[in-house]
Amino acid sequence: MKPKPTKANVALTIIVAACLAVAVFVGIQGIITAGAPGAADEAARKKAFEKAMAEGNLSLEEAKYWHPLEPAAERETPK
Amino acid sequence: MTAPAVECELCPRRCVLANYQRGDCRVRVHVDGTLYTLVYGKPCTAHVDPIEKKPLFHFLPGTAIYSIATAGCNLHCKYCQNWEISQTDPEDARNVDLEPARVVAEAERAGCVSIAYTYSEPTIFYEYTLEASRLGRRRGLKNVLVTAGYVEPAPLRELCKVSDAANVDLKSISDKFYQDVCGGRLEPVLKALKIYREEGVWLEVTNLVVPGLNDAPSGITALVRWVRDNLGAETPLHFSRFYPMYKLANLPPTPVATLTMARNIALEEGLKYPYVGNVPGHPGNNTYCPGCGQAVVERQGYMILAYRLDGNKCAKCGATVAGVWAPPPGDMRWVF
Repeated sequence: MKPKPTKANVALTIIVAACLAVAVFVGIQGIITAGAPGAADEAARKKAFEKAMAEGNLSLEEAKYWHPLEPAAERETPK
Repeated sequence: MTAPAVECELCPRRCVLANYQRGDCRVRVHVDGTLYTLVYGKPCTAHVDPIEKKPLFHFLPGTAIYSIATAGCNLHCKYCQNWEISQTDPEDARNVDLEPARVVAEAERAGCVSIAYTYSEPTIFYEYTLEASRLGRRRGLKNVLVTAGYVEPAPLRELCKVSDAANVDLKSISDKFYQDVCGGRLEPVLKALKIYREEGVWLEVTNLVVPGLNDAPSGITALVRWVRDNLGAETPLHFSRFYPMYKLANLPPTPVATLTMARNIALEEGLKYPYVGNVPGHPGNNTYCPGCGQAVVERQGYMILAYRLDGNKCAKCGATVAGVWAPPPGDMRWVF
């Protein structure tokens, strides 16, 4: 015969479920705030680029001989 | 949303760049879906040199050449003789504002008949080189590339249309040397050399001989044979002396005997114009007539001491000496 849940068990289940819900919510919020994977790297590169443009005597002229890649075709730059 | 990556097609590295990432050359950057050059009109050096310094010995000898370079390079030779500018970020260099039109104007003002894109690597300041070359040609100036030849065929062919002469640094005939010492590959350089020849650009080749790294007679012989068989026996080949520099400051300068040996190998293999460079006073500084053996152009380093050519003919025997020998303006040939 299946035992009847006690009040303590019900309370524990509710607490665990609430904790899981909070964790999932916080995780989703974190991803939204930080952006896609690699966003921190891009932010660092952007900051370095802006610093170089501000402090160095550089130009920003569109280059010849390049093409955009589809995201699926992206690969690592060979070293 | 971040921009998708871009691929640079200028040199054989084919860098794939995420947003705000720079190429291996340090001077090309991807910003929000577009590839930019950071050094257009921003050279870090501009000088007037004797053309012999490039070195070009068979192209308008004795003339002055306006020479520019930007920071950066797409190779990373451990012995680079200009590493202070080639291996630095452009924002750390002392750049000046010199738009292509001003390059031409400054060259003319200095009495130069040509412009050299040199010192670091013109491939990586490609757009700047191309536009200055176009403008220079319109004004009757010649354009000279001093390059490692590490460039893709399509941009090179476009640049050749406005280039008159090139000195290409063939660092070794060994791919392993290119990988270990320069961070590149051999094959694209060999392909570029053939393209220069096909496109009719006057071509001279330099090989910097580094003790213990590329000075073996077997390697020099293989290099000489490749030049002879693929570019022609009339291609001037400069064996240049290495001086301790950059990451190879521990090595000694190239012994003069090694350079003499290299030149002798080239002569034995049938090259008509092999030279010894960076050794002033060496007999290998001179150009000798392939017909009679007379020294038709005697040099002391970059300085011309005697000139015995009538047009492109030896003044003594009348044999043709390959090159672009149009007389320089005035008596500039004696200045340096």
